[in-house]
This record gives sequence, structure tokens and C-alpha cells, in this order.
Amino acid sequence: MDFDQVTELVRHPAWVLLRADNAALVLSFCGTVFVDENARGVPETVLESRLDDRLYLLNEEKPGSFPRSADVYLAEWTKNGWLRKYYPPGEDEAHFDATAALEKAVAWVRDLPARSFIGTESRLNTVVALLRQMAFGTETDPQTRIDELRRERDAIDAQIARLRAGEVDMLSPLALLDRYQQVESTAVELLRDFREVEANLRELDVRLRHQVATAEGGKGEQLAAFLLDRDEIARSDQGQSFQAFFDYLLSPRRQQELRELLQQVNQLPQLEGRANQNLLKIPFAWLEAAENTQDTVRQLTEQLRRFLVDRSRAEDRRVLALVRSIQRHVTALEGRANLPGMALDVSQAHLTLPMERRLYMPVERIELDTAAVEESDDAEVDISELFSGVRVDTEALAGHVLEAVAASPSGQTNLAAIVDDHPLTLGLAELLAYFQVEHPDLDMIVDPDRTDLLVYPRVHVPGRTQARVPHVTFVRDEGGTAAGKAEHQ
Amino acid sequence: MSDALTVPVVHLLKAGVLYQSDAPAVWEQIVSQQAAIGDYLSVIGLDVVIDRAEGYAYVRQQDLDSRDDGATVPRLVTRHRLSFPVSLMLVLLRGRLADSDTDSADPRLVLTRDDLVEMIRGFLPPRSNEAQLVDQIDAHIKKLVDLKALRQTKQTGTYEVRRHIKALVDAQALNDFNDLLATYRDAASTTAKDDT
Repeated sequence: MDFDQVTELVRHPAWVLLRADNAALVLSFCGTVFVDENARGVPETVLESRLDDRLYLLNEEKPGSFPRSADVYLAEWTKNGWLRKYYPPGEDEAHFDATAALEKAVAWVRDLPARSFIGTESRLNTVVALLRQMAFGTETDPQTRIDELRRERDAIDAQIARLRAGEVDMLSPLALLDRYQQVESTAVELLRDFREVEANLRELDVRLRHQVATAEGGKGEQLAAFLLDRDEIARSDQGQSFQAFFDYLLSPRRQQELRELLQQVNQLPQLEGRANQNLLKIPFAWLEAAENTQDTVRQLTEQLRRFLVDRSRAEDRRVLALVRSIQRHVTALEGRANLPGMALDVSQAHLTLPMERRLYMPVERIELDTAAVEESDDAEVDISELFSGVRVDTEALAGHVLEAVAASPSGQTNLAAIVDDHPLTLGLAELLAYFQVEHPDLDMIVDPDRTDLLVYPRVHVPGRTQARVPHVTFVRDEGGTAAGKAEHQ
Repeated sequence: MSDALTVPVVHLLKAGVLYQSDAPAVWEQIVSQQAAIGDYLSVIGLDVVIDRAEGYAYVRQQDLDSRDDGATVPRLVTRHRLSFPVSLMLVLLRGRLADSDTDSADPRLVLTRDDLVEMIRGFLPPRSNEAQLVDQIDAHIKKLVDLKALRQTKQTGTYEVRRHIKALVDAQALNDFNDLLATYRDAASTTAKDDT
């Protein structure tokens, strides 16, 4: 390594992170959220409250160790390039995602503790297999290729012959563990690489923009036309390789094969409980992460396209020059009051027709006092007038209640559950009718201390409305004992 | 006027600027009925401008000189005379938008109230009462929200700069404003010379 190169790298966000005073906090917190849980795009409020909880616990253990508030930490980490803060399209809340630098630092720290067993054989096998693929894949002489395939066939024939003879050689547990470890680490590395792929693509996008923006006059437009012609991001080496991986992963046959193999391998007794259950979820995590990256590619391509299509490049330069000129004028005129403003068309039409207005109507105020609700005897209240316009079939309602009570093992049910099963069609009138349900086999207990919020469709008009009602329990009446008991509660 | 035009035309006139993201269904209607809407609005002296790339549409007063019959049509779209600070903020926001389009992949430009205060503060006459100045800037921000140049996001204290100000405050409008200020500056320097 070159001295200057290393000096340059000292400023790399990952290096800065490792040297930071609160590195332990950043690595443990962000490592858990973004790497272990593989979250991509966490809303600001969620991340802030999680960090808040973490800081609270840490400060409990050692008071005053993290004096600042969660949002200050997040702002600092974003500034240092460990987190990326952005607005997802169509969202008003800022989201956070880990950067590739953070991912690298976490991976490095995680690799530090000595491992008890490091498999090397499987990696050697992989290397040889890869080399063979490369050498064989570029061979132009057909005879050499045929020879190679023959050699492979002979080896397989020999294997079959050995198995026929009853010679079964198996992987030793150690060799198995070696391979398992390699699968594990490759799987996790792959997941980690997605963030870097995303970062690379984003960088490519910025580079292309700069090229177009800084190119002189006509050249910039030519460049834009050229880039528009080809999907530069999707066709970059990174984009193509990623697309190939994504297509591979998306094939249902491969997904199934992958899942079955993982399932089978994880159950091998030779692994002696060293199997990592998380590995079973890896195909899903890959798919999720890959989809995320795919989304980014799509967004970047679309935004780049919009940027290129935007014919106002030249205008933007002129606009910036004009803005600067205006700033200079204003500075020169500093302190002068009553400077002129500009005139602007605001295309909103406000139509106020005089005849649309109503004459003044005195408003009758109705005093509402919820505090003075008196306990009243049910018998005295007659709400039948409420229903005079609407006919509610109380028999049917009682039927619903009885049905629900009979179906329930505990012999009771509540109003919210009944309304859930039998949506209200007549609105409030129907809801109130439930309070009047009377049946010799039923007892109704109203608990004014607990309330339920019921949502039901409006009658005759589109939309929904909601009502807060006391918690009502219907109990099967067994000689009055159930009701008596419940009333005491 | 056919029924299919009612919804998009009324929405356009009421909203002033209609963003695709705010009303996707209406947007679809506007795009599919573009020509018919244009014909209809031209009757009342208006043009419809649809920017598909940016995803917004707005109604504009037709150029009155362009009428062949020479008849005068009263303006339907009100022309607002903005105060100097509000104009200046609009100009600075237009510049920020141009900057951010060059540097960032995100089409959305979101600024906090503090950003906005910092952006304009240096250009306003200094006051000893800082709080009063900030209150005033708050009033300007509110005006810009009313004009739909800014949109308050769900997070309190952050504002999105609406992209249609690119069309509203174009190079022509900036040039006019620039010339106006240049005239004032000339006038100011001549009076200063006269005083000495």
C-alpha cells in the first residue's frame, strides 16, 4: 500500500467512525438496526425514539455518558457520512439509511474477535473451481473442451462405480462445518454489498449530472441526448451485474431450490447445533434488499432522465446569474426601505358570487354540559321517538346478540364484536337499538368507565362516521346469577 | 361543455397549481383531456400549461395582444404585486432550486424555517430587534405558503419548495426584477452624489 493512499483513506467515513469517541454507540446501535435487522429506510421518528431508548438505558448504567439528545446524534452521524438522510418519493418524513461506510466499519469490527475454527479447504475448492471455469470458459479449441468434459465424465463414472461397490464416502463433520461457514459469510457479504452497489449507482448518477451540467453549451446537449438514448445507469457494469443477479434471484425455480437446499443443510446432524437459523431467512433478505436496490436504480434513472429532458439547463445557468445579480443590487441598496417587488400572476380563481351568500341568521347556541349527566333509570327513558323515521328490527338485533352469546364458550359477548360481525346498515338508530335489546335469556351490563370506538358507514351518504359508546357486555342469563355477579364488578 | 371536462377544469381553476402527486385521479383526467381543456379555457382567455416531466399543471392568463379581433378582455387571473422581501425570497428560492437540480438527485427541495431565515436575513435591513426580524420573516414565509410557492410538510418547521416556481419565476421575470433594482440603484447613487 502506498503511503499517500493510506493518508487519503484516513478521511474515509468508515475510518473516521472507528476513531470516533462514541464509536461503540454508533456501531452497536446502527449495526443492530441497519445491518442485523437489515432495515432499509427507517423513518426519522422511529429511529429517533429507538435511539432515545438506547441512550436512556446507557445513561441509566453510567449516568451522563451520553448527554446529548437523540436528534443531535443523528444529525452528527448524518453529517459524518455514516447515515444517509433523505426523503423517499411522495413522503413528507425524512428517512435514514446506513451508508456503505457504516456497513464496512460494522463488518470489520465484527470480524475482529478470533474465531475458534476457520475453514480453509472449502475456499481453496472455490478458488480452484473458479479458475477452472475461467480457463475452460475462454478456451477456443474444441478438442481441449471435449477433453475437459471427458475428464469430468470419467471422474463421475468412477464415483458411480465406487457407490455401486458400496463405498460411500461422506464429508467429514469438519469439512461440512467449513463449507457451512463459507455459505454463511458469503450470504451476509452479499447482503452487505447491496448498500455499496446502491452508493456506487448514486455516485454514477451525480457524475453524469456534473458531466452534463459542466459541459460547454452544445456539447452538454449532445451529451444529454447520448445519455438519454441509453439507460446509462442500468447499462453500467455495476447496473448490469446487479440486474443479472436480480433476474437470477427472481426465478421461482431457483428460489425454491435455494430454500430447499438451505432447509436440508440446516437439518444435517453433523453440524451439531451450529446451524444458523437466520440463514434460512437469507433468501428473503436478499430479495428484499435487491428489490430496494432495484427501486433505487429505477428512481435514479427516472430522475436522471428528468434532469436531462429538462431543457432549462441553459435557462438554469441564466437564472443563477440573474439571482446573483439581484443579490448584488440588493446588497448595494442595503438599508433602503420601500424597495419595489415583482408582479406575479397567481392563477387561482376565487369566485365569490354575491347571490350565493345567505342573509344573516342568528345562531342559536346550544349549551352542552357533559358533566351533569344524571344516572337515570332505563325504564323512564323513551327513545322510541328517535326511531320513528327509521324502522329498526330489534328482533333481528336480539337474534344477532343471542347467536353471538350462544357461540361464545364463556356465554358472553360485547357490542363492539357484534357490530363487527353484523355491520350497521341504519347508522346511529341501529346502534342505539342495541341498547334496548330485551330478551329473557339475556342480561346487558353497561360499563360507563370503559368506552369503545365504533366506526360505521353513514346512511344514504358516502363516508363513515364513528361513535364512542360505553362498553356493553351481553351475558347469557342463567337464573339471574350471571347478571348479579357482573353488576358487582 | 362535456361532463368529462367539469372535474378537471374546476379543479384546475380552484387549485391554481395542480400537482400530479396531490391528485393523481384528476391529473389523469387533465392529461387525457388536455386539448379539450385548452379549447374550453381559451374561451375565457386562459391557457393551460401542463408539465408532464415535473408533474404539475396550471392555468395562465392568455397574452391579451394575441387576440385577433382586438377586443379587450378583462383579466381573470389576478396579478399580485408582491412586497420586496417576498419577491426577494422567491428569487432566492428559485436560485436554490436551480442549484439543487444540478447537485442532487432528489427532485424535492426541502428547507427548514431556519434555512429560510438564514437565506434572507442578510439581505434585509439590519435591525437591533432580531426577534422582530424573524417574526417578519415568518410572515413572509406564510405569504409564500399562501402563494403556493412553499408547502409545509408534515414535519413542523420544514417546507418544500414547489417546483412550479420554475415556470412562475422564469428568466424573464428575474430579468425584469433585476432591471428594476438596477434602476433603483442608479437613482440611489445619483442622489448620494448630489448630497456630497
